[in-house]
Amino acid sequence: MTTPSTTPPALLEVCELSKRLAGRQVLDRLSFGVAAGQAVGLLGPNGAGKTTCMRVICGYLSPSAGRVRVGGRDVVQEGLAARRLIGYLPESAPLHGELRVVEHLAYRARLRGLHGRAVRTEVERVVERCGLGAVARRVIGQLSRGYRQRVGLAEALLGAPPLLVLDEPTAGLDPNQLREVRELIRSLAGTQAVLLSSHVLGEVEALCRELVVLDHGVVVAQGPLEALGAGGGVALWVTIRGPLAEIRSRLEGLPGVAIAEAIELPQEPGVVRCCLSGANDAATRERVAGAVSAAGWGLQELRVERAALESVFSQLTRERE
Amino acid sequence: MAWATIARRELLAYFRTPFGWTLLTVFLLVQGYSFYLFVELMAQPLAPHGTPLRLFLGGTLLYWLFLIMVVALTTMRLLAEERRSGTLETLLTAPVRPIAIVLGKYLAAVLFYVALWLPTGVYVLLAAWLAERGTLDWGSVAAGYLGTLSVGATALAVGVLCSALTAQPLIAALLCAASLALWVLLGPLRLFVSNGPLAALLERLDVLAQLDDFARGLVDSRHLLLDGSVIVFCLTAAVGHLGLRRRP
Repeated sequence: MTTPSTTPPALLEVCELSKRLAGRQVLDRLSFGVAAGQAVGLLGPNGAGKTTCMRVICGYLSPSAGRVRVGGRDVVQEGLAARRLIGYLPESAPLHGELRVVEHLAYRARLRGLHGRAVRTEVERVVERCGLGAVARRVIGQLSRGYRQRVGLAEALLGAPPLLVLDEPTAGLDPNQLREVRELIRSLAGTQAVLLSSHVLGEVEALCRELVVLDHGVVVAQGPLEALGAGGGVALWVTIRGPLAEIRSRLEGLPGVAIAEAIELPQEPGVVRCCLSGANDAATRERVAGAVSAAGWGLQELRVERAALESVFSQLTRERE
Repeated sequence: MAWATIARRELLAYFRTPFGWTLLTVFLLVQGYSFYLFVELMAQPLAPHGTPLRLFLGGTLLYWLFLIMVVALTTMRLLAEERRSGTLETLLTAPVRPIAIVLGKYLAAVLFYVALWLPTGVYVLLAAWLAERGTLDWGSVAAGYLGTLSVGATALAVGVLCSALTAQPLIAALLCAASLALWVLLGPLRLFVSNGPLAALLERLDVLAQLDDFARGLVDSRHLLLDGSVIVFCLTAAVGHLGLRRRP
C-alpha cells in the first residue's frame, strides 16, 4: 500500500470508518482525508463501498464505527453544521421533475439558508457556472441526461460549500456531455475540495491528482496518482536495427534486465522491437544503450513507459479476491 | 425557515400538476351533489331530525368514504415519492432537520385540505339564503367545519406517517386508507363489547360520535386533545422513521 501523501490539515477527515448494512460489512475501518481545494478520487470496482462511504460522509447514513469530520464538525454529533459545508451530488442526480431549473435551484438555495435577493444572486451564479442559461426556464423533466446532471451539479454548488462530494458524476453521459461535465468539475479544483467517486479509471485520472482505492470496503491504496502509477514499475521499449537472435542473447545477458517481448517488425525487416522489464533505474537503461552501441547495431528508439494505472488498479483489486 | 420552504414547494406541487386540480374538481362535484341531495332529503315530510349541514359535515357514510380517499391521495406521495425518486437523499443531506421536512410536508397537506373545503362555504351561504331568516345556527356551522378540520388534520397525519414508511406511493395510499377505515370503524365496534373499560375506550375514540358532536355545535376540548395527540404521535413517528438511516 502506498503511504498517504503529506497534505495540509484535512477539510474532510475519515477516521477508522466502518459501516454494516443488512448484516454485511460494507465499509471496514476506512481512513483518509481531503484537504481544502484538493481533488481526490474515490476509486473502486462496483460494490466496493464508494456510495455508502459518500452517504456516510454526507450524513445520509450513520457510521457503525469510526468518525467523519468536515471542517472539524462531526457529521453525527454536529450533523447540521457539517452538512452546511458539503455540496452533494448523488449518483443518479435526483431532481424534482415538475419544477423549472431556476425554481428547483431557488428551492434548494432556500433550504441551504439563503433568503431574499441572495437566493436569486446565487441561482444566477450557479446557472452561469454550469452553463444552464439556455435551459434555466425549462421544466427539469424535459431535460436531457447531461443537462439534468449539470442541474444536480449546480445544486451541489449552491452556497459555495468548501467540500463537494460527487458520486459517479459522469455516469451514463455521452462523450460530449462527459467532456463538458469534466471541464466543469476541473474548473472547480482549487476553489473547492472535491471528493469524486468512480469505477472508471480514466475519469479519476482526468480530474484528480490524489486517489483512494477502495475494494470490498477496505482502502487498498491511497496517495498521489503518480506514486500509485509508479508502483507498477516501468517498461523499456527499444527499437534496434540488427539480428533478432543476437540482440535477444546480448540483452538477456545484462544484469537486472529481462526481455518480456522481442519481435522483428514485419513492415521493417531487420528491425527488432524489444520490451524489457526491470529497467527501472537510469543506470540499467544506460547499460542497454551501451550494449547496443558496442555491438554496432543501430539504436532507433529507447522509450520508457510507466505501467498504466489500470494495471495497478486491477492488481490491487484482484489481490483481495 | 426550512419547514416553510418545504411547505411552499409542496403546496405549489399540488397546484402545478393535474393531480391537484383533478382532485379539487372531483371533490367539489361530489360535495356539491351530496349537498343538493341532503337539502332535497331534509325537505321531505318524513325527513329525519336535523339540518342538511349536519348531514353534510360528517353525518353520512359518504363523508367518510370521501375523506379516506382524499386523505390517502393527498398524502401518498409526500415522502414515498421523494424516497422512490431519490430526492429524499438530497433533502436529508441538506442542512435541514427531519422534523422540518415532516412538518413542511404535513402543513402543505393541511393547507391543500383547507383549500378543498373552502369553496364549500358557498353551500353554507346558499343554505342561509334558502333557510328562514335567523334559523341557521352559525355556531353549529363553525363547529362543524372545526370538526372537519380537526378530523381531517388527524387523518392527514396518519397519511404522512404511512407515506414515510414506504417508497411506493400506492402502498402508502392503501396503508393510509386501511388505517383510516379501521379508525372510523372503532366506534361501531362498541356495539359488540359489553360495558367495561374497553367499551369506555371505544366510546372515547369514536370519531363518528366526535364529528356528530361538532356538527351539532358541541365543541368538546377532549376531542381536540385526542386529535392533537394522534397528530403529534404520527408526525413524531414519521420523523423517527426518517432518522432511522442515521442510526449506527
